[in-house]
Amino acid sequence: MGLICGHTVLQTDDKIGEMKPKMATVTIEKSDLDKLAEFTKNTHWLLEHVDNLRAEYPDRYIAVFDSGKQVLDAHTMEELTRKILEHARDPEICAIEFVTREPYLLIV
Amino acid sequence: MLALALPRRRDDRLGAHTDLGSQGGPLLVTALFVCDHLSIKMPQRFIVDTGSVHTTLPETKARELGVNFDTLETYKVKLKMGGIGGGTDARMLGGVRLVFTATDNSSVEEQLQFVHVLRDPPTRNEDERKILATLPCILGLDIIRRFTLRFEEKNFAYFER
Repeated sequence: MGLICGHTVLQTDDKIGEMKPKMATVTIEKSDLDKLAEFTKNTHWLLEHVDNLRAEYPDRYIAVFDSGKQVLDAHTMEELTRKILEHARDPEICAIEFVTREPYLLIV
Repeated sequence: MLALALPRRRDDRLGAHTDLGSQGGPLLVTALFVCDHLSIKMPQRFIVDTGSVHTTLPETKARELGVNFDTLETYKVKLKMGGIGGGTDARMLGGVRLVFTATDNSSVEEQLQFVHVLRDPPTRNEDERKILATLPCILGLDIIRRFTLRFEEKNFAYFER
């Protein structure tokens, strides 16, 4: 017997009565880890250069590729997404940020 | 930041670092967010938040991953989610894996029975909405407590087993 949790089918384990997820497994390929490495490099570059980016792209969305060798910018996320696709770049590997004109301190 | 090549360090740990801007910032790590039953695998940024019990996604981020907040499971027990800024609705996304890259470039996979997805709060202006749109996910204690978190330098910390 199962119930739906989000899209996950949870099934009862007969022995202990706990609900355990039973699902198809997504395979992690080398290309996925390469994407993660590229995303990490771009994010790292973004964090290191945030002050310079603030001066150059105030109040704009930016997408960082190739460790900062290419930076796309736009006023809206939709426009930025369109530019990323126009440049035939993979949106999953870029670091995207809204760069505020003034420094913004995030508190969670 | 994960996957930094750092000399003279143990090879089996994960690195995290902060925003290097003049104001500093939260501790951030990157990981591949995997949700098997939705066939999702996408790199994400996470704020390391020892004040959060569970790993959490903002609704905006979940939507980018193809997750519809309204179809997610609500809590069986009524549970209010809140922080300093106020409260909001939350739901659960089950069956998640996070794949990190260690400093020796090996992958480290951590499974979670579920993550929280927080409904985006109402925003007061366009700037707030834009900031929310690029807010990272939160790495909570459900992952953090599996490691020893060691702060070694001004802008770096390491997750060690």
